[in-house]
Amino acid sequence: MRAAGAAKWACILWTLVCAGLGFFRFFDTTFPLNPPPGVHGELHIALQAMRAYRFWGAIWLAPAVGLLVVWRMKREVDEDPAVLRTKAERRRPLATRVRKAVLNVHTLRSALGVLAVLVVWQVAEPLGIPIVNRIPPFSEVVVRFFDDRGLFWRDKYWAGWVISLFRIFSGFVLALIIGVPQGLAWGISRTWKAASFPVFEIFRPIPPLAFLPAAIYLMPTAELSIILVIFLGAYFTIVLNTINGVYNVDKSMQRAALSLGAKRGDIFWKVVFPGTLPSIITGATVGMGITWMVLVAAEMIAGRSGIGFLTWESYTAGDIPQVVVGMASMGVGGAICSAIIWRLGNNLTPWRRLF
Amino acid sequence: MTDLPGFLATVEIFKDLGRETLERIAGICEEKRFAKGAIVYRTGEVPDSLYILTRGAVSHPSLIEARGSTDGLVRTPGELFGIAAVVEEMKRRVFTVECLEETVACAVNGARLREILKMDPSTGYIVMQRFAGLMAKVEGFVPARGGGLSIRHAGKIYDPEGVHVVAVEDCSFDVAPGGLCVVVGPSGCGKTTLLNTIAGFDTLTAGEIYLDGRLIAAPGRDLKPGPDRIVVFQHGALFPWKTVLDNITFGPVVQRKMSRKEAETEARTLMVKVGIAGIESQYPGEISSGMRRRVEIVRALINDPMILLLDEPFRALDALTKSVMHEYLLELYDLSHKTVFFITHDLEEAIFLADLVVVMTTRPGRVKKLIAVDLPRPRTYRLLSSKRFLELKQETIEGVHEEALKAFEAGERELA
Repeated sequence: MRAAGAAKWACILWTLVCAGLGFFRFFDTTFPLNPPPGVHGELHIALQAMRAYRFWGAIWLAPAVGLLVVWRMKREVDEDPAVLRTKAERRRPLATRVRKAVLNVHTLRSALGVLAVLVVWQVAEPLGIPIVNRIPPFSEVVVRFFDDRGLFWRDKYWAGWVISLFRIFSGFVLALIIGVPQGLAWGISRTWKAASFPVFEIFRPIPPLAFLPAAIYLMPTAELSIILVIFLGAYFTIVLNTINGVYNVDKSMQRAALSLGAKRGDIFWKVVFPGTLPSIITGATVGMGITWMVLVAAEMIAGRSGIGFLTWESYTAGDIPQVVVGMASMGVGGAICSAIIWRLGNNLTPWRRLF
Repeated sequence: MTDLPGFLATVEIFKDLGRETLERIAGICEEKRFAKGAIVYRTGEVPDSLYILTRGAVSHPSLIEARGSTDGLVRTPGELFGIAAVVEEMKRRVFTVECLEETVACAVNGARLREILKMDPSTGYIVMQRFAGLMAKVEGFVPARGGGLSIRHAGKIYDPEGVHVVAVEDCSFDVAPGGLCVVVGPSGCGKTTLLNTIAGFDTLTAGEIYLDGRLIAAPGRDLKPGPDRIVVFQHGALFPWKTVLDNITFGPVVQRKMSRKEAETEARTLMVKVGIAGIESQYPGEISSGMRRRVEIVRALINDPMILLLDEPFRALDALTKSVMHEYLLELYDLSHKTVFFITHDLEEAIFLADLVVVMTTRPGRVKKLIAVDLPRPRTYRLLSSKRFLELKQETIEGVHEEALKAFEAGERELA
């Protein structure tokens, strides 16, 4: 089991190294520019973005698979009824599993909610509901999305998805990597907090977008300035939630651990950190929402690509249905990101599913 | 020492022995000097010598009700410690003995002393009987391996420069090894403070606390909570992110006392023994509160602590669950005979469980009354209506009610 522990840490370290090296790709000032002749500009940007992580991503994949195997092997040893139940579940035919996952009361309810909103949207114009009736109806937006000049058929739109998601991922992961340890440190050490927290508090009220001019000026590439602003959007929330999470870890829990013979390191890794995890996840979820808000504005000002940029471009062109398409895309994108975080969060904190 | 036989004659246990025998004993006496803080022997060692104090003081509970001793420790010349050496069946030392000052003591080989006493036809057997009696007395409260708690003039003042809240003041009492001591008192009387100082979560501002003669709390001493005294908290402190099994194995694994496998095996046997098997892979959030309490007690017991500190553990339970938990705790107690230090404000609970009920006064917390509960063990719920129980309850109520009233009035004043 010692080997498994070592493998785990090696994987985590490797991930960090790869993420870091991939990230340095953004320091290349020619990165979003200079498409080769004959290649569509936005498509080129998206390809570049994907390439930025492809090499390191591929190298990262091997140990990740190894980790998964080790993890599964460890699970095999267990003969807990819960694990056995999961295994039995896994043996069922795929079709049954999919049907059970999709066609349950839960998803049907969600679908019903979305449908209700779409219906209201559609009938707002004929019914004359104020303000809402000025939005082009749902059907018109859908038609605009799929007609022969519609965004659906254009590389620009899908490249925008890729590049926007990419910016969000970079900024958000950076915020997690920097924000969580910082929040933990501030939560644990009063001395350290007294020394450095006021600086944080001065920077916090400044809206992330206010950093944009400075970011454009400071950063070598526009790409990096957007990522910096996105990072700032998520960072403050994540740090604050982490600090609060540390404070909310029950004092008697730490005392109990001490009483059971835990050392300082054990207290941190086995009590404070898991106790803070739910708060970190909350912070990450909120932070993810903020990154989408920031993204659009940053792309409008500093970018030449991405969903936010497309929306702004459509507005300047007076194409309101296309603006709505952009908005809806962002909504869907944000919802997908939140869902992923919820899912990950639930997997990381299995005990919370009960409450 | 010039007149060793003369000195031995003054030792109470050797009273009536002939001069010849005393001289023989003096012949095997070996005078030993210990510096302050030296350890004479430790808990768990196999004994070979009996010690007779000639000068100084050691951290061993006094066996004979000695004059001179103010704190119940061995201080008077002629007092004995380490009598386990004389008794054949006694395999291990119970207490660790630390010298509180410079000490001189005569070490007498136990086996040879036994032989000499057997050779004395007239009074030797009387002395042997005395040893046996003394041992029985010790053994009466040492069925477990130690865990004697001794609180001496303990005091705790919060914020001495500022608000100056006296939480505990001049609090002294002893809990015999393997005893069950229940502290009752109105809320805010410093019960929990006292428990925290014993557990090592908080410092004392006056006095000392000893566990088996080992100083565990005194002013200016480092806080050292440890697995020899484990706390079960008021609101429960199971880790919600660990399964029941992981919670129980937390102690041994984190101390590296056992591997995870061993700890899990041990935990499973213990869980079967106390009747909570089958919930190993569940999270604490999934099980009932009574169950959680049991898991918490098992989590403490797996570490084999000297003393179990329970801070109003059944407070949040409903009356029915509580009564079941009492019987359950008593069952565990009768099985393990760990020393238990239990805090509550429920009088019935206190008397039902305790060997010794300590009634504390309202702020500042002092010991108002010590009530020895002589109800027979094992105890069952029938006791609750017995005459003796009601008498004891009456006695306790009188002490507590007055204090509760005071606390209430003080609260009213604070509000006004």
